[in-house]
Amino acid sequence: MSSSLLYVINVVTTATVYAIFVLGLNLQFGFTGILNFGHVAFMAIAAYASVLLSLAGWPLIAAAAAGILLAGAASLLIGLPALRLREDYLAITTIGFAETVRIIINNEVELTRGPQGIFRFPIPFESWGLTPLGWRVAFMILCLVAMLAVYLILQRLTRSPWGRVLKAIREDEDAAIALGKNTRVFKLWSLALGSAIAGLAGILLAYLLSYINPREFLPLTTFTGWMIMVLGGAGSNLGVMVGSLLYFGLFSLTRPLESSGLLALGLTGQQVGALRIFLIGVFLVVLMMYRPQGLFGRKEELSLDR
Amino acid sequence: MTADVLLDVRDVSRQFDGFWAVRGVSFSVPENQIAGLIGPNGAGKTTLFNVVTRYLAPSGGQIHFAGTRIDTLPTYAAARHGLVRTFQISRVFSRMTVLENMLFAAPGQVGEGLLPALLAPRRVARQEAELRARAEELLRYFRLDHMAGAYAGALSGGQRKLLEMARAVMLKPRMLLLDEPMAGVNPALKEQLLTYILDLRAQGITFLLIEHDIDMIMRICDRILVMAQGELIADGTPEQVRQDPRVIDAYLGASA
Amino acid sequence: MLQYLANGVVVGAIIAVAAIGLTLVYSILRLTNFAHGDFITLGAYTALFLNLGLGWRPAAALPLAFVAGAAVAVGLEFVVWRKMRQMRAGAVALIVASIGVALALRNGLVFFVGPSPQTFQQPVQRAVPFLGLPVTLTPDQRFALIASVVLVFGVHLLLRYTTLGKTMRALSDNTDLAWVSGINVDRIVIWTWIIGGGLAALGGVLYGMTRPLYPELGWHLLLPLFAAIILGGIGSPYGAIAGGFLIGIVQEVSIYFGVPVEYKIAVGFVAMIAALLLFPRGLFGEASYK
Repeated sequence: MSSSLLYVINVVTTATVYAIFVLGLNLQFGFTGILNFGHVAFMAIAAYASVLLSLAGWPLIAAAAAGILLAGAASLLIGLPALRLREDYLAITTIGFAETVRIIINNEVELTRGPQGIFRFPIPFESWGLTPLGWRVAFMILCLVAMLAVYLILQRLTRSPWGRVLKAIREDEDAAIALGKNTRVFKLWSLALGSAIAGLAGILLAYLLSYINPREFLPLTTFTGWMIMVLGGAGSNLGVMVGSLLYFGLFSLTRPLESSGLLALGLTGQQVGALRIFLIGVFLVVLMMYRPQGLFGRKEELSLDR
Repeated sequence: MTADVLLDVRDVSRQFDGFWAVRGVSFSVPENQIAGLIGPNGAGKTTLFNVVTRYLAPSGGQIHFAGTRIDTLPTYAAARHGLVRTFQISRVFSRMTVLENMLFAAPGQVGEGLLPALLAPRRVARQEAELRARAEELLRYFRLDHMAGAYAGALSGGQRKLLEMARAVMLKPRMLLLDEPMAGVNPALKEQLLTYILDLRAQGITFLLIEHDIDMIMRICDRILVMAQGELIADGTPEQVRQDPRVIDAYLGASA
Repeated sequence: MLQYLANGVVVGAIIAVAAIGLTLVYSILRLTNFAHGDFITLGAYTALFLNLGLGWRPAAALPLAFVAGAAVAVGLEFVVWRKMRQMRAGAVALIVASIGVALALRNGLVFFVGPSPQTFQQPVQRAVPFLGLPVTLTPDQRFALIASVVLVFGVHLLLRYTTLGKTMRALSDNTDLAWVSGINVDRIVIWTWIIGGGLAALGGVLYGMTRPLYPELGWHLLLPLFAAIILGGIGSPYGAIAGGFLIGIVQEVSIYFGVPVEYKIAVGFVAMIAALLLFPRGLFGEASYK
C-alpha cells in the first residue's frame, strides 16, 4: 500500500538526516573528546541561513553551501573562548550557546519570522515534476548519498594522521601537547567540521519538512543525537548510522501502539510524546550504567569511561 | 673543548599565589651532557622541570634553547624545537596501539593537515610507510616490537616507560628531559634504561633527569644540579656534589 | 530601576537557594547534576498539588516539598549514582546519565500534569512597599525573599558549626584524602542529596510564589543556576550564594536597560561566559580549566 511505503520512506529519510547530524557529533566527541551539548544550534544556523538565502534568490546549491560554511564558521564563536574549559563547563556553555541561538531566532522576527516559522521556500527537485511519492523517493536517495559521502570523508579523515592527533587529544591532551602538537588548532577544526556536518543535516531537515521554526531546534534534538551516538558506540561511525536507523525504526514501530494501544487507554498525544522522551531519558541512564560503549564501541575504546 | 650550550636557564623563578617554588635558578646544559637534578622533596625540581618544558610559564627569568628564547612560546612549541619531556607516570595513549603511539609522535607529518589528509591520500600513505619503518626500527631497539599491535593500555608499567622513551625519541629530540625515569621500576629494567640513556647520548641526545635514586644519578650523570627550597644550591660533578656540605645539609635537614 | 533591582534580589535569592545544592553535590560527589533543575520543578509542583488539591497555602507546603525533593534525590542515589560510582564512571558518563535523569523526571511530570502553565490558587495579592524603600513587592515575593535569606543563613550555620557540615566541607575540599580517612562516606553522600534535593525543592516552591509554574521551569533555571555557581566559583557554597544574587540582579536589571524580556536567559549565559573568561576561578572556587 502506498501509504505504508510512504511511511517507511519517511522513517529512512529521517533516520538518515539524523545520522548525518550525529556523525558530526561523533567527530567532535567520539573522536576528539569534545563535549558538545549545543550541536543543534549549528543545524539551526545552517537551516535558516540557507532557507533565507534561497528565498532571497540564491540558487539552491549556493544557499546550502553558504549555510554549511556559516555553521562551521559559527562554531568558532563558541570554540575560540570555550574549548579550554573542563568537561562540565563546556557542556553548560554549549547548551547556553544553543539556547541563545534559538532565542535569537525566535525573537528576531523581521529576519526569521520568529515562532511562526517559514513555510514556503525552494526545495530540491521542484522543477522535476515528480509525484509526491516520487519526490520523497528522490529526496531519500539524496539524503542517503549525502550520508554516504559524509561517512566516507570521515572514515578517510579519522584514519589519517589528522585523525590520529584527534584521538590522542581525546586520550590525553597534555601528553599530545608535550609531543609538539598544536592541539588547539586540531580541536577547532574538529569542532568546525562537525558543526558544518550538523549544518548539512539541518538543511536536509528543512527540505524534508518544507517548514522550519525555532521549535525544531530544541536541546532535545541534541540529546536525541547523543542517545543515538551512545547507543551506536561513541567513536564508531558505523554505529552512528545503525543506531539512528534502530532508534527511528523502533520509534516508528511504536506508532501503531500509540494509535491503537496507548491512545485507546485515554492518553493524549502530549502524554504519549512525554512518555517517549521519558523513555529516552531512562534509556540514556541504563546505557550509561550497563553498556556505556554502546553497540559497536569496543571495551578497550570505551569513550565514556574517563 | 667546550661543547655548545643547548639549554640555557637564566634566573628563572616561579611562584604560586605568593609561594616561591623556584627562585633565581640559573644553569646551562651543554650538548651531549647527561645532567641530573636532585634534591629533597618539595625542593622545586618538578616545578622547574615544568617551567623549562613550557608546561608552566616562569614568573621571572628566561629560558633559551639552542639559541632561541622559548619561555615566551606556547607549550607545544618546546617539543617542536627539540626539547622533549617524559612524565613521571607514563602518559601513553592507552586506547591507541603501541605503533599508533609511535606514529603520532613523528614531527612534520603532511597528513596532519586537514586538506592533505582528505585530498592527497597517496602522499600521506607514502610518508606513513616511511614513518612506520622508522617506528618499527625504534620499537625493535627498545624491544617492544612484539607489542606493536597491542593497545598501549595493555602494557605493563615497565613497558610503558620504554614506550614513552621510544615515542620521545621518535620526535628526533635534541634534548630529553626525563621526569623520574627510574620511579617504581624493577632493578633489571633500571639497568636497561641506563643503557638506553647512555646509548642515546652516544647518538647525540642531551639529557636532563630528575631522580631520587641517588645511586643511579651518580653512575650515569656527568654533572649534577642540586635544588633545595626552590634554589640551586650546588652544581658540579658527582664527586664534588657528594662532598658538598650544603648538599649534605639539605638532605639531612629535610629528613630531620 | 530600583524596582528591577528589587526584583533581581528576589529572583537572585531563589537562585541562590537552589544553587547551593547544585554546588554541594558537585563538590562532594564530583557530579554535575543536570537533573537538579527538575528537583526544583518537583518541589514547585508538590506545592501546587497540595494547593489545588487540599487548598494549602504554598508556604505551608514547604516542609513536604523538602521531603519530596530529598526523597527523589536519595532515591536516585540508590538507583543510579551509587552504581555508577562503583563502576568508576567517568565525568562524561555521569553528565550524560544526569541528562537522562533530567529528561525522565521532567517528562514523567509532563505525563501527569500536562505542559501548560499553572499558578497557585490563592487570593489576589497587591504589591506593597517594602521596608520603606521606593520599591513594591507582593507579600509572596517578600516571603520568598525572607525565606531564602533564612535558608541561606541556615545552610551557613550547618556548614560552619555542625559535625555534618564540617565533614561535608572536608570532603569537598580534599575529596581523595577524606574518602580514605574512614569517614562514613555513604552517610555523608545521602545527607548531601537530602540537602541538595530538598533545598532545590524549596527553591521551587518559592519560585512558584513569584512566577507561573510550568514543567520546564527547573530546566530553564539550570542555565542561570550554572551561571551562578560558575560566577561564584564552582564547589563553593558561598560562591553559589553570591553568584545567585548576582545573576538574579543582572538578569532583571538588564531588562531595565532595554534588553527584551525573552533574552533574559541569554543575558545569564553571557554573564557566565564573561565570568569564565575573566575569572577562571570564579569568585571563590576552583579552576575551570583542565
